[in-house]
Amino acid sequence: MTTFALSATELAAAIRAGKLSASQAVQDALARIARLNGRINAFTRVLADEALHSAAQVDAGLARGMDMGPLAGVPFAVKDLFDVAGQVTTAGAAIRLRSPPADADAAAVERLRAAGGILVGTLNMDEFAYGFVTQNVHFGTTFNPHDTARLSGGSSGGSAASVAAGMVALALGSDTNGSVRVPASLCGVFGLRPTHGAVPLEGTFPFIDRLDTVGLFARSVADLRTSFSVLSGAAVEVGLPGAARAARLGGWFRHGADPDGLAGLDAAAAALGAIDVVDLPLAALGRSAGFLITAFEGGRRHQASLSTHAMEFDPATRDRLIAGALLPGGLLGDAERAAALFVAELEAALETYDLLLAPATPSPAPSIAEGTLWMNGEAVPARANLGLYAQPISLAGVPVLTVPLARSGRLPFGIQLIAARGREALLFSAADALVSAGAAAFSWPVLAEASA
Amino acid sequence: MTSGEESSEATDAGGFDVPEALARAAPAGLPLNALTRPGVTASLVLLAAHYRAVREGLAAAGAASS
Repeated sequence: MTTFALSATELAAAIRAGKLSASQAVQDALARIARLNGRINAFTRVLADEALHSAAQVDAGLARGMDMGPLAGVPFAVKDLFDVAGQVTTAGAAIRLRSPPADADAAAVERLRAAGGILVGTLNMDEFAYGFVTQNVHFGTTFNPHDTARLSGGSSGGSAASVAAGMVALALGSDTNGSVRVPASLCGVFGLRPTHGAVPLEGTFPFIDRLDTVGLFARSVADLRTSFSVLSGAAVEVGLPGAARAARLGGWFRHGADPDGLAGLDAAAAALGAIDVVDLPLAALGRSAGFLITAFEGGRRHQASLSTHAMEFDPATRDRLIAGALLPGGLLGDAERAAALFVAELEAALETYDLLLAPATPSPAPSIAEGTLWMNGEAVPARANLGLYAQPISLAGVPVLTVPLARSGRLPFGIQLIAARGREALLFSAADALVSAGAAAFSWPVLAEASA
Repeated sequence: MTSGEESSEATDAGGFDVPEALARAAPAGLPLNALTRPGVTASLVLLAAHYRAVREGLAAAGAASS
């Protein structure tokens, strides 16, 4: 059985049915990582021995007839800001390599393991999660599996790329300002930023407390639904009727976006009956507010380390964090008031509509060599602009599911499905509807197919 | 606004005083040297532009701080 192409739920079903052992699933994943990671650089650490040991325990439990959980035997990996017992949590930073190993797993890791998942390694990211590109001076660039000359997105780039390349079926990431949604869009996988606080952050290296959200990546909606249920500890309703009231976000969320991507979004919206276009005039204000809050709080979080070890930081992160630490104190209150204005506007829209649709990124994956993307006929820095459409939404703490549009022969492009807090089940149903309608689909990268 | 953070455009972006912010580096123990100064300055210019946008947005909404 070729296991790399199976989804997490398919893998778990095959293992439960005795068609495949957990040990075999893990061995296959490790072999695929060994084959592909040299080209993708998604993994920062592979925990082969520990994974094989855990798989043997799952197999032994199944042989005794025990219920080993809904993800029994499914290999998964985590962004390197989740604590893993016995490992140093680097958060993508070289200075963290001197830190002691974690005493215990992060809560999210613990929950996936308790559900039978097998942790096979840790994944690359922008240093301290401050970026949208996963270009890390310490751990290297994570390359997009669909075209290794292009960015994977970030900061959870290793997570998205590992799932897209079939190295694992499931990966954890985090989303502060778009760090699940941006790489999910560029790598063409499904990515969930749950409601803020729905999945515990305990044991994750923090960035901006009020925005940090544990997120996850998979190649199917069913995998996200199952994993979110495990991570949140809540049952997720299946088979909700399609969103009765859906709309596309206009204005800020369409300005400068790739026309071909917008056409795909419009087709997806039509499949959901989303004819209306809703403008959120305060979105630009929200984006500025989020940008300032992130710089201010990020700078203060890292100020002590910067004062002693600044030159050991990734320069791309260091200079922005120093700038953030130098911001005047009175700025934060203004930024918070501005953020509140935009959040109120978004929440009002989510009272009128169950579901809002917007691009996840302005364009498909930019070229690494050029480092730019095109907006309105102008090349702008990719690093600073990939999160334009994701960042404002983050302020509201609402759940967002990034769905890859069906785009045969073209680079992936993802759209955000946005709902009110606690309405993840609605997002899963809408994503299912898009897949059924042929508007959304995961497509295997050529790189992965060539080396299967 | 899109973000031209790697350019040095708009040095008068104006939301706060960039030279004044740079002057806070030494007392805070933050290094401003040949390697960091260009990037820090460019970031502050961009942040100042965002802050100006915030202040203008708050003023338009009648929600500016006193």
